[in-house]
Order: sequence, then structure tokens, then C-alpha cells
Amino acid sequence: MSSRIEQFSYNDDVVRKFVMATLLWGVVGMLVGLIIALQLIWPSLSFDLPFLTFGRLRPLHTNAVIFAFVGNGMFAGVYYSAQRLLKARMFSDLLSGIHFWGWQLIIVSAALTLPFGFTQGKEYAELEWPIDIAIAVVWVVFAVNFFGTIAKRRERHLYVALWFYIATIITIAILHIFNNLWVIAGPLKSYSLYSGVQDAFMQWCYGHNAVAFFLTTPILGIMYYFLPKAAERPVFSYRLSILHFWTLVFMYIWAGPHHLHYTALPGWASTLGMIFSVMLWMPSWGGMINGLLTLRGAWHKVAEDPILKFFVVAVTFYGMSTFEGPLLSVKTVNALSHYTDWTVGHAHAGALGWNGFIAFGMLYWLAPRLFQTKGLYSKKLAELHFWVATVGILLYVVALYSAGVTQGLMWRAFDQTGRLLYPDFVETVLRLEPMYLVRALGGTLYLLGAVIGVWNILMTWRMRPAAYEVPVYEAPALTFEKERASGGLMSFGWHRVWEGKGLTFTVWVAVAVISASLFEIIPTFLIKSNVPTIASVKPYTPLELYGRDLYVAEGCHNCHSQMVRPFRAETLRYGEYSKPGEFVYDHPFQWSSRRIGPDLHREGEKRPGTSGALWHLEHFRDPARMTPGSIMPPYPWFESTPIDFAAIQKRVDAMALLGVPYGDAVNRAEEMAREQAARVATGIAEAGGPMNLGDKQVVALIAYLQRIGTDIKGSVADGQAVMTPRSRAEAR
Amino acid sequence: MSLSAIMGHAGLAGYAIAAMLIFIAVFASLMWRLWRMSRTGRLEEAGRLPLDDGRPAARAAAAGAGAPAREADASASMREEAR
Repeated sequence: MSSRIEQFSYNDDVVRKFVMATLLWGVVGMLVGLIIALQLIWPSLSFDLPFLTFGRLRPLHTNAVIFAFVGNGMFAGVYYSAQRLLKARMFSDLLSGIHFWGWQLIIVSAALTLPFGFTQGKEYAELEWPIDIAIAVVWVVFAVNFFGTIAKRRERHLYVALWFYIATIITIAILHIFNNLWVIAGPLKSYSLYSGVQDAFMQWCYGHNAVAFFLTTPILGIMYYFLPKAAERPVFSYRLSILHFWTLVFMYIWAGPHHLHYTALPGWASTLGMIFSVMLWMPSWGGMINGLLTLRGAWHKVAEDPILKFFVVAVTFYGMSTFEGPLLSVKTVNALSHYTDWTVGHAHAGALGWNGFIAFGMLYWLAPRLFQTKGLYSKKLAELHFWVATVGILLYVVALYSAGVTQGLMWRAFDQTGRLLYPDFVETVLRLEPMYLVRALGGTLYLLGAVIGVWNILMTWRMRPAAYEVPVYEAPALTFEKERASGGLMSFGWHRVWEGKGLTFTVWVAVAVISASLFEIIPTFLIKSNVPTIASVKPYTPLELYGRDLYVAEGCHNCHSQMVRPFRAETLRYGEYSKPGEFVYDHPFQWSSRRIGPDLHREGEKRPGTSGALWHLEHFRDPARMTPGSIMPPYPWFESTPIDFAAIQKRVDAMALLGVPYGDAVNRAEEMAREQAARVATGIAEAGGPMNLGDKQVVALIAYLQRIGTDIKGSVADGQAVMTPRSRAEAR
Repeated sequence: MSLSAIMGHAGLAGYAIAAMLIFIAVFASLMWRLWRMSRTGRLEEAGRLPLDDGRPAARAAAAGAGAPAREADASASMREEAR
């Protein structure tokens, strides 16, 4: 049956825009990363400015590299490859434009809010509710544009790269919406609908699967398209790609709980997360092998071509990271690695090696084609970029692996009498300084490589013609005659049909993702025994709630956990281990994923009363004076910035709407907050501190810090105060 | 009896193991069947899709049907677009 021949061209203009945005945001995101890496060595680099502290800049770094650098790179790759694989121009140039500019607006909004403390306090989901809505709208625009292109395609078969794009679009939409359900408490303030254990579960289902479906599946799609392009040969095994896709899509969703081993998460969920994480190794290495074997017979090209070098190292890092991920998810390994730099090293092996190198390989391949030049400005500079960045990654990850293992072992080390060998947390921090220096050096090299890459691509862009040519292609229109599935269920004729039907295929991807999610979500939310009620646990007072909001705004969770794990080393260091029922009023949870400073869940019992309040005050002024060697930046503005008492009632009302039993505070939150603030301020003054702090932020923070973890009485044993080197020596 | 109560009494000790076994069974059957597929030709054809950007319109008549253009041929362009 003959078809009508149609002529068409591709929209490369939007691809060029995304390429430029990738370069710009890549340098910005990496530069912020380098700054915060240096702040861990020289905390004074925050210059006592609120918007330059580690806690506020770290989310800016992660958001910039994930959503701005990788995001724009991903969109460039998707828009370029999808049009060619579907033999169709994007569905709508207008939607393409809205997608591009909308995404850049979101990035700028993030850059303008995160450093100023507007955050939800959930990793990689920090952006506040108006930006969340904008993300959802822009994502829908992207989805309509993408699926519209599939609908008008001229190639029946959907190539495997497109399957990965479909999975990305569907799953990110689901994750973003369900992890960002909130109650609005102000123009840029919201509280998570979930609390404590359930919030932690949803957040890490999101956090883990953001890695899976934002940093992995679209990049795999890009690998399956651009690696064959660069190698000029088809993918090694299309069968393996089918297996890779379905197993990855189905299994990734389950693995989220491995981020919460030994926390207050129910054991069954934790075990389930671990098992599926270990099984993830299979499809991941299937994909890696498929990528590397695509180069069979073409390895001689790798020696000459920097683009292939980037791709080969990227796929190798994919294999390494996806081996390390399952390893870290094993509970016994995780007991050592969790909260340490090992996890940070693992994340950066994936981000720098896998995402970064695929992105740069793709950009180098695209540049001469998009800018219609004879080739790259300089192949030698691309080679230089490759080697500088590779050395940078190696220095970076080796330093952090060393730091992580060192830290984990020091935290759990006992002396011959059974006491902690390093009871002062700061001892473990000081030991890491040389490794942080090497990490910063590695990061500098990687950034240097990126700058070389940007220069090279910009110089290529300068060689562009006066006007871009727009090649016109032609292909027969697709006729939608029915294709029957031949044979039975196991003949895979049905898969062939799915591959040809964009909508059906998409529905089945959604079914795979949603069903896997529900397997974990339903029991987590429905089984009451997951979170046993503790009668003594009460809601935060209005002032404590405001103090908690400041804790969230400052990004304290970027350095401090609030989760004492049930290990002797931790209960000795911090106090009683954390119980699920203690977090029922925590919207959002603040368990954290990293300890650059000590855990704070039993801080309330460790430093109670007026002397404790004064200690906190002086610690905020100058942490290094109170704890020699501390790398926490000073927070002098807490003593001068007033509490916004007028905002407190609305926040309490929002919490009450979430089911927090606030009782009397629903009517007189502001008054109650003023009364408590006056009491805390009086106590500080009586202990010898400054007068007239009753309306300053510092009293709200102190009220919160003195409340954390105190609902269970006796959670810190007598004499389990924070020990200084001198007191430790005396104890011995 | 509420759904919450039913879930609470269900017992989840073997939940992870059961999920793993189900998955492995599906995975194994998928792999077994995939490698027994007789559609090698169609799969190879699908695997080559990235190498085919489409036929440039100017060359289509000369090349005839079934002659996909290579990447380098794409510069045979028709129109110009202001930058």
C-alpha cells in the first residue's frame, strides 16, 4: 500500500537555544559547587552574608546542575533526536519556545529564591509552591509537544531512546506532583502535606527516582541515540535495550527506601528498597554493556575522537555508579556509608562522570551540526577538556570515598574501655580537611574542563554561516492500518504493536511505574503500626514552629541530621535512637542525608535551660569559638533580624489544616509566640547574655533547638553532654 | 473493617521476598523469550534508526525509494532561515 510523500524540516532553533543554556548553567552550577566545596575548608568564604552560607548555596548548586545543566542538556538531546527518530518536526514551535523560556524562567526563579531562604527543605524539591506550579505547567507543555510529535510522526517504530523519553516525561510528572503536595502558608511558604515517616518515604521515592528518571532514563535515551551516531554503527543489541528499558523502569521505583536504612522507616520498606536496589544492578549493567559493545570494531576511533572518549568514559561511570549504588543500598554497607561523604562521592561519580560526560560528548557532536560548521573549532581543546575533566573526577571521587570511609569508621570507633574513640564530632571533621582540599582541586579541574568546553563550542558557534540553512526532508506519511499481534502472549508480537503505538506504549509505561509505586505507598500510608503513636509527643509551639521554619530556610539539614540510628555508636554519641512517632508533626521531615555537623535530634535535652540558650546564642555568633575547628559559618544576623510575628498565625493555621492539634494556638498564635520569646530572651539575659532579644530570630531558633527530641524524656543519659577535648581528657 | 486495619493484619514479613521472586520470574521469562525471538531482521532494522535522519527532498527523486540519506548529506538544503 503506497503512502503520500510528505516534506518536512526539523526545528533545530530550539535545540541551539537549549545547547547554549546548558553551557551557561553548567558553568554557573559547577562554580557554585566549587564555592561551597571551598567553604568546607574556609568557612569564612560565606563572608557573614546570609545568602552565601553553605546551607543556602548547596541547594542552589544541586538544583543548578540537575535541573539547569543536565535538564537543558537533556532537552537539547530530546528535541534533536526525537524529531529525527520520528521523521517529524516538533508538534508546535510555539510550545517549543514556551518550554525553553519557561524552563529558563524557572531556573532564574530558583536562583532568586534559594539563596534567600525560600525553600521547602526537601532535597532536590526545595523550590517553593509558585515555582512548583510553574514546573508542572512547563512540563505539561513539554509533554504535549513531545506526544504531539509522536502523533504526527512518519516512522512507525518508536526507537528505544523514545521509550526512555516517554518514561521520563510520565514519571517525573507523577513524582513532582505527589512529592509537592502542600498547604500554602504565605506567598513563598508552604508545608508538606505529609509528615515524618510518610514525608521521608515520599521524599526519597522522589529523590531516588529523580536520579532515575531525570538523570538516568533520558540520558540513556541520549546514549542510545548519540552513541550510535558518533560511532556510526547501530546499537549492539536491540533485544538487550528492550530488556534494559522494562526492567529499569519497573525496578527503579521500588528502590527509594534504601535512602532511609536504619531510620524510623518501617523495616519491610527498607528491605524491599534494598532488594530491588541490588536487582537494579542487572539492567544497569545490561545497558552499560550494550553501550560499550556498540563500539565493537570501532575502538580505534575512540583513540582519535574526543567525542567517543567522552561517551566511553560516561558509560563506564554509569556502570561504576550503578554497581556502587546497589552496594551502598546493602544495609550493612549503608550503616557505614550513610550520612558520610561516600554518598556524596557516589552521587558525583554519576553526575560528573555519567551525566556530565554524556552531556559534553553530545554537545561536541551537536555543535558543528547545529551551527553548520565544518567541524569543531578545536579538536585538541576537546581532548584537553576530556583529560582535565577525567583527572578532576578521579581526584574528586577518590578524595570523597576516602573521606566517607574515614568518617564512617571514626564515628563508630570505640576505645578499649568501650567508649567512643572520637566523642567530639569536630575531630572527625578536622580529619577530613585534606580530603576536602583534594576534592576542591578535583572540582576545579572539572570546572576548568567545562570552561574549555564552553570556549570551544562558543568559538565553533562564531564560525557559523550568516544564515542557517534549513534542510528539507521527505518521507512517506504513516498509515495507521491495524497491526495485529501475532502469536500468543510470549511471542512478543504484542510488544511490536506497543512500539508502534505511542499512546498504548505510554499507558503501559505509566502502569508499570504507578503499580510499582503503589506496592510501597499503600502499605506505608495505611498500616498504622508503621508509626506507633507516642502520647507525649506534642505539636511545636507557635514560636518553635517559626524557629523550625528558620531552620528549614537556612538549610540546616544540609549539614545536620535529625535521626539517631539504633546503633550503639550513635546512641552513645547523641542519645536515645529516634522513633517514628516522634515526627508526626514534622511538616516537612528534616532527617537529612548528610552529617557535616553532628546530629541534632537530641539537641533539646543536651543543652536545655538558660545556659543552653546562651550557648546557642554564642554558637550562632561564632561557631569556631565555641567549638574549635568547627566549619559552621557564623549567623550573626539572627540577633538583629526581627521575628515576623504577624506571619505566625497563618503558619499555625496552615499546620492546623494539616491535622496538627493546635488547640488554643489557632486563635492566639502570635500572642503565645510573643510570650515564649520574652521568656527565652529573659533567660538569656539572666544567664549573662545580651538584653532585648525578645523580638529577634535567634530566640525562635533557640526555642526550636531546645525543643527537638525532648518529647521522649530521658533520651539523653546523665553526663552525656557534648564533650570538649579538655573534658574528654579529664574523663580519661 | 477498614482498609487500614486489613493492611495492618496482612503481615509484611515476606513482602519483600515475594516481590523479588515475582520480579525475577517475570525478568527471567522476559529474557528467555526475548532471546528466542525470531524477528532478528526487524530488530536490526529498528536498531539502525538513529543512523537514518531522513531523505533530503532534493535528492529523493534521484536516489529513489529506500535510500536513506547519511548525516553528511543533510546539508543539501532548500531554504534558508534567518538567524
